[in-house]
Amino acid sequence: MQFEDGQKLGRYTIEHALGHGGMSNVYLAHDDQEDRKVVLKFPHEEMLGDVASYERFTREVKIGQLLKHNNIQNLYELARVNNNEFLVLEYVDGITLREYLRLREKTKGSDDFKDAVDVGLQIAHALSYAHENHVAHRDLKPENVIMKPDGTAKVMDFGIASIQGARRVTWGPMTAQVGTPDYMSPEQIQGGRGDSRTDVYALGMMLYEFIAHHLPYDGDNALAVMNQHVTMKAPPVHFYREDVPAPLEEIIMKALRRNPQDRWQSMKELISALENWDSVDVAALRVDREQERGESPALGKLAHKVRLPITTGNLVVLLVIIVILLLLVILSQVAGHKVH
Amino acid sequence: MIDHGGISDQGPIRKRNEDCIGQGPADNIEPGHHKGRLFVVCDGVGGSGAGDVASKEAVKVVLEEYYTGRRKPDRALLDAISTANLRVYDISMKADRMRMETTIAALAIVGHKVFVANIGDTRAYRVRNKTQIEMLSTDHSEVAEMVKMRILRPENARNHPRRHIITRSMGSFPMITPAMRTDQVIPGDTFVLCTDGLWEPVLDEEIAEIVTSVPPTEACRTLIDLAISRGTNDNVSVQVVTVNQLDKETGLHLPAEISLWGRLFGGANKK
Repeated sequence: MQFEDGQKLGRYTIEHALGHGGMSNVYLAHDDQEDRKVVLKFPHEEMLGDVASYERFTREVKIGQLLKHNNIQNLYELARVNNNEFLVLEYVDGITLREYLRLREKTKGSDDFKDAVDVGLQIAHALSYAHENHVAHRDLKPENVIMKPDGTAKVMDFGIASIQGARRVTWGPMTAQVGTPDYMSPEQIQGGRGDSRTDVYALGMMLYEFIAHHLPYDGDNALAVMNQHVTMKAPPVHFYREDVPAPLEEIIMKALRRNPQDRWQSMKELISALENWDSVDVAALRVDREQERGESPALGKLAHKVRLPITTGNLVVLLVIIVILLLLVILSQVAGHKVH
Repeated sequence: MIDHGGISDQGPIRKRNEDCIGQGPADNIEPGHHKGRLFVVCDGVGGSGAGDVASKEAVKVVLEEYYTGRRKPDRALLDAISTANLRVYDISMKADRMRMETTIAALAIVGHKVFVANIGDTRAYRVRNKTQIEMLSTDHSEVAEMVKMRILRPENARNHPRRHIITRSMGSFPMITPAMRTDQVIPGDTFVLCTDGLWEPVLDEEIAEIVTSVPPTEACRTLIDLAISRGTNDNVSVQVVTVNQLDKETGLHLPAEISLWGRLFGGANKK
């Protein structure tokens, strides 16, 4: 479904397409009635064809319309014009958190901690409010958060992942089109629906990335990354960012626990920790974290104890050197005996 | 003696049918090829109808190349898929690198043997003794890999959010390796080839029950209608092949199965 600039759809006038690729389904438009800019989102037709998907979609839209919060992109209505159905959303002037983080990459500074907590709290408040209204996001990632010039963070795409389309995607030269599972919780990877603690995990991942400028799980492909989420434990933040304050590190690490039971059990708990992070019991959190079983992708089991550059490669080299030395010792002993 | 039925249905939602099915040999193929019957199903991927082109081309090329290629059916099938892959890749490169890919499941019945090759998540099954259904193909999908890696339970793969991501497809690279399997055929065996539009909403046991209770063409229709009634929003394609009697004409005079052990130590018997 393609629309021309200037085309009218009832009270909305299309300004231009947003987003990438030929199959755009998002447009910037003008609401002539309210005299404001809006964003129009057209669902993939194929997702709405059957009754069950459609009912789920309209249910999610109703819920979305109930969510009114300063840090949540407003869903105004589900509009129907000339056989077209589309979502009308608040236009938020800004850049995605993804782009924002990319810009900050160039200027690593001590502001990172303060700013990370500030942005984190805004997102956490938005999610806490949604959870109180029995809605979990389940697809939280930097691409779904917009940073306004005044520093306000707005969370987008609440519960409308179902309309984004689940068309077949292949690994191939176009692998970039495949969504990365970087913010996917272990329970989601394992096929579970997830709950509010899934959002805690995703937010923890974003905070980690904000401060460390690196994700804890990294791999050649999506499978490698998903495997790490499910079977390993994240290297502590200080592995990538030495000057991270210990309380902040422990708060983030608790959000990233594999088992949802071990994480902050709600956004409220996480908010409380972030707002009072000076008084967090660092020692208790650290002990709790170190009891989690599993290796770290970066350092193996020694991650929490020693920070030596021990890698498999180094160990093999060491082994070879030891064997050579032993051989030399044995040979010299044998040579010595022969002479006698 | 083989009974066969095959239907490819656009489904109620999609604007075009990007699946394609085919069978051989075509009428213009000379007898004496010793390659038996070949059945192919493809599920195309790509925007603006490119998937349609990919799947049609793949089916056409595989059917042609198989019968005119090498003598041994398994080698002929692999070569045919290789050639078809390169053809689809070539077309996509010439069309400004337009994304044009397809999956494939191909099944050849030659005498008492069946040869199955596949790329992607289009499947081939064998049903024996009415209820024993076995998948002869190997899914090249993220969720299949996740199950192998034991980070996903098989029963959770069907509804996983990443179930549509496949890890191998025809047309994405100039060279591709299909999964390949050779097995025995006994009279009464029924084979099923189908795209994910079918196997996602319809369980294996249900497929087995339907294909062993009605003739192939009716089975295809019943399966497709069932998939659609369960809300599939995809194209749905299926081929059902029942082997009533083995073809006497094997032609290849395939030697009796000699195991590697036998080949290495066959001399021992002569002592």
